Amino acid sequence: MKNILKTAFIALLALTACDDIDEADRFEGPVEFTPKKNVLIEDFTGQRCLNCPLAAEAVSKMRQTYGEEHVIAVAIHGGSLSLPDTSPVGLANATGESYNAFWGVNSWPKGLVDRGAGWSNPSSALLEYTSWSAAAVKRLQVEPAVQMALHNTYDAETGRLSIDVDLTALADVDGMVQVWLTENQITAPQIMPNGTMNTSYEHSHVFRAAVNGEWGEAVQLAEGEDAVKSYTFDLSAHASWTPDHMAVVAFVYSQSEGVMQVIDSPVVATVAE
Amino acid sequence: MKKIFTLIFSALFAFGAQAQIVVTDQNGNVVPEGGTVTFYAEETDWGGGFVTVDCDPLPPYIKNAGTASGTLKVKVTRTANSQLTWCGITNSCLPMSSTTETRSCTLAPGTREGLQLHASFTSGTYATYSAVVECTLGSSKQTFNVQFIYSEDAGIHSAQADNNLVKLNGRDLHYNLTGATDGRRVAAERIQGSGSFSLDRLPRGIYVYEVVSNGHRAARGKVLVK
Repeated sequence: MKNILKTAFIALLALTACDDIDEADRFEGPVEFTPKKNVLIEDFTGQRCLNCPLAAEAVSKMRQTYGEEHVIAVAIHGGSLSLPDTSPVGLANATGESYNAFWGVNSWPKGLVDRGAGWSNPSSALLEYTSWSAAAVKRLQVEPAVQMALHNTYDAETGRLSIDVDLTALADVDGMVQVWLTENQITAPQIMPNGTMNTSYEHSHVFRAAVNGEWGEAVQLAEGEDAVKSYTFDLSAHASWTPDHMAVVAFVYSQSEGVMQVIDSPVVATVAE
Repeated sequence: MKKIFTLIFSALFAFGAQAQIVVTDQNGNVVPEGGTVTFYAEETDWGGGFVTVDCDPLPPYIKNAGTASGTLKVKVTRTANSQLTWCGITNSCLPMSSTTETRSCTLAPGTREGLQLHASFTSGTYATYSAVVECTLGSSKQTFNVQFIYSEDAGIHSAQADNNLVKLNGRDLHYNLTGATDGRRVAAERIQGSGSFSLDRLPRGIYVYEVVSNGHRAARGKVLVK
């Protein structure tokens, strides 16, 4: 009886089979577009999280597809599948743990794309990594409310990093400006999708510190108004960090709009020859 | 005409196609209905006093040995004391807070999914964790058990090499070797839980052995083969 029903159902499908469509009218792939703003991917991850390298790979592909300047990723280590930075090879710090807790991350990898739809239920904004690209495409086409520029000056002798964040409001802005430090090319253990431990895995965009407080500093600008926010950070207190591999990530966000704009810039500027 | 042929072909296919579960363990052996797959915990010292004791296996593997795709549903029921994290079937690694969890995915014919059920122990607190796994794929069903053991023998506390034999934690470590003895690596093998490493086939000479666990050197020494 089951097989008869199955056949009848397939027969119904077969009689409604596809039509021939002229080649000129066929859909052939993603619609191309020019990003109007940059998008922030907060990748909640862990070194003992087997699937997390897959999320990192997805981020890498997004950056290749839409441009590294338009897709800015930060890998935030924390939670029960992470290694604490009290271990020489651990990448999870107290601030990263705080972010994990606030957003209600209880499985990994999970991510935020421009901080999602709102903060009344933080964990509802979390997305599986397979959904990040689609969410990012939508956000890349949103008109930015603020224009941003970053100027970093690093003194290698003193370890002092000076950061200037230039803001120009393209619409009225009532939110927070957040400045983070990230680091690339960190060689540290990572459990891989095939179950093995890769002791030479290269971690990218690892969240290292919040420069201006865990949730940033309030900013209010009328349309057309400019502002410069200046900060300093002492990198000499963190001997295991490599300034040449580090970047400053700055973004403006609000609870209602999510991330309105984000940019990043290397800590140590590359001098053209 | 094209649609009639499609209909006939589909009808023939519908009668013959079905999904079929086959479960295999880490050695490729078929796990029978009600069978048990066992894994042993490994200690890792990450430095800074941070030690983890984990089992992070990919298997057992759940394969669709049939000819049709189907929705694989996997239900894991853990014992109350078992600290398990489930990474398989879907995209997320979720520490299991409830006793039971069910996941599903589409499984094409000939493909397999690793269960990826992981156990985390507290260093020094020996225990055995277990879970019952129920799989459904179409009309095909199978139930099996998974066991994770953290015993005092986990990790390497002592190493001895004497009379053509390497002993770890007082137990013989046997393995069959073939190869030269000119200072090059003779052989390397991953042994999980238990295994054998015999030096009987080596020519006379002095060898250096190194035991690596989770990327860290756990034991090193010399052995004289007479």
